[in-house]
Amino acid sequence: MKNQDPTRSRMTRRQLAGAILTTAATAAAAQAPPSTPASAPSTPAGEVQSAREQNQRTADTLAAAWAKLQVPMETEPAFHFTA
Amino acid sequence: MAELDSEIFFAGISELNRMVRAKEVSALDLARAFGRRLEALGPRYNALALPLTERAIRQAKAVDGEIKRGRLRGPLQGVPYGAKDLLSVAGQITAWGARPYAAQVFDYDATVIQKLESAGAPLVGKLAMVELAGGPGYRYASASLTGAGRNPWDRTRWSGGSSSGSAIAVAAGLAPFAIGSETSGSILTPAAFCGVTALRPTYGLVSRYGAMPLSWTLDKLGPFCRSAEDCGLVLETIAGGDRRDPGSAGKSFYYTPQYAHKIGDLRIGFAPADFSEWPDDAARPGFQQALEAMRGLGATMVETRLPDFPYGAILGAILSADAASVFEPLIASGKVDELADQKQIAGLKAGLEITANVYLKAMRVRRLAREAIFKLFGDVDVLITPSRLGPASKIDEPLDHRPDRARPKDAGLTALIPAGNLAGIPALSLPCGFAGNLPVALQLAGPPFAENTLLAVGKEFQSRTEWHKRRPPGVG
Repeated sequence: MKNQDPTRSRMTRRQLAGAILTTAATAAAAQAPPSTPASAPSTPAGEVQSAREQNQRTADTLAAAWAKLQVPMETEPAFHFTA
Repeated sequence: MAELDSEIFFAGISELNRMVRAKEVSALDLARAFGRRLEALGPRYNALALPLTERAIRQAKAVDGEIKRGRLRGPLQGVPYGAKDLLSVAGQITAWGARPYAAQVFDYDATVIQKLESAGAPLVGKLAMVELAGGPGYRYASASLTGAGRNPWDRTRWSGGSSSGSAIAVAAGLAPFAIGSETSGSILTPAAFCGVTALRPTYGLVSRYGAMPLSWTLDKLGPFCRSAEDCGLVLETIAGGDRRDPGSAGKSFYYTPQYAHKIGDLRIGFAPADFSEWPDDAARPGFQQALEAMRGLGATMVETRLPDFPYGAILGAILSADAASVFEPLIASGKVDELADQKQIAGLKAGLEITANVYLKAMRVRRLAREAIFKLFGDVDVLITPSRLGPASKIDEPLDHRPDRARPKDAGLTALIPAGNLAGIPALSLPCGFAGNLPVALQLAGPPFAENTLLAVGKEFQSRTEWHKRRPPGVG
């Protein structure tokens, strides 16, 4: 499927430029290397808890980006689907 | 069997194919020699998942018969190869590098295996990999059914992953080329650490039918080779549309260096900080010399940087959720606990809890990021940055442990691995120097389906440098 990306036609250049330029702080935070763990969790349950906390940090980062980008309602997920 | 000169283990694809066609050596001789070498030396580096020498010998005999009858199939005819153990080969164990799947057997070949068989390339072995291609993340290099991939340049160092065996096999002369996969860095990282050339194709250019899924919108298959030119030859064979892969782009690839853009007409984007501030101290001189060599090609060099997006978070959310969904039966069965790496086990379990809201946010922000990256390619034809900022890590070092040090303010292009994978763009890793006794590499990335441009730049770079010809110690 080609050229079916709604943002290509519906997102204005100004919106796109804004999206690119307004997330510097978010990007810098997200691209930081993983914080050095004082020590690896010592139990399987501790590992799962650590993974959950990582997922929460990821969600928080995405939420911050989401807020700054003001993602247009018509922006579809980057799935690839053909009927 | 004819006694083969050990130089043959480091010959390029074109040379091996020429020798087979000229009957200077038979396909059978090559299959036997590489198969036995892989069996003998592969375990030294934990590179071998499953030897297939006898199968390769049968294939090679058929190839020799065809050549005798004058049936020539193309540049890979008679050239042996190895395949990452996430590709199914009918009737053979395909373990995905993971203990819970140690006895798994499929009754069909992956599309790339079929295509290479049709091209007359004998498969000498399945190559080791990080379990489940790394899943949502792992802490130790030992996260593999076959143990930590040992780097041929220094066996106390990691090979990189998750396509560990593919990179090791080419670096140590155990196979002339190999197939690996990348979801985020699994081709580029081991290629850089082991000092071989490798290509991550555009998403959808190579069918993934018969390959272990990890993340449906991120998974790609690509070649590890001795040179950019060899990558072009292999890609031409394995690329192409496939209805059995829902992500297939339906496109073929023709390696056409004769029609490539003149290097002097290209604009190459780079970020100075990537070469002067970000690399490890030991790697910095090599990267700076490589940048100068790249300047010497005659392209217009343009300072640039990636659009600011939280690439790591976007990719992390998508990959973790996809991987947990793919392996939900494994998690539900409890067999996930048989995996080697505790971090990977925990990441898979926790991935089931990622909400639809977070996943869709990631996929929608991804679309904006992709558009911004495509826009960047309106200003430049190629992006270059170090493939990895330093050489291979110590084999027992936690991979999520990074030394604390001041971070440069300019992110430059350092997030090109997650950004490039999210955008589905192609990338080529070229050996470009050494940090001590360990190789380092440059990454070239371009817009979708710009593989010929990347390969042309890579070929020109390799015509002026010798890094891709260097061999690890003790491999002949």
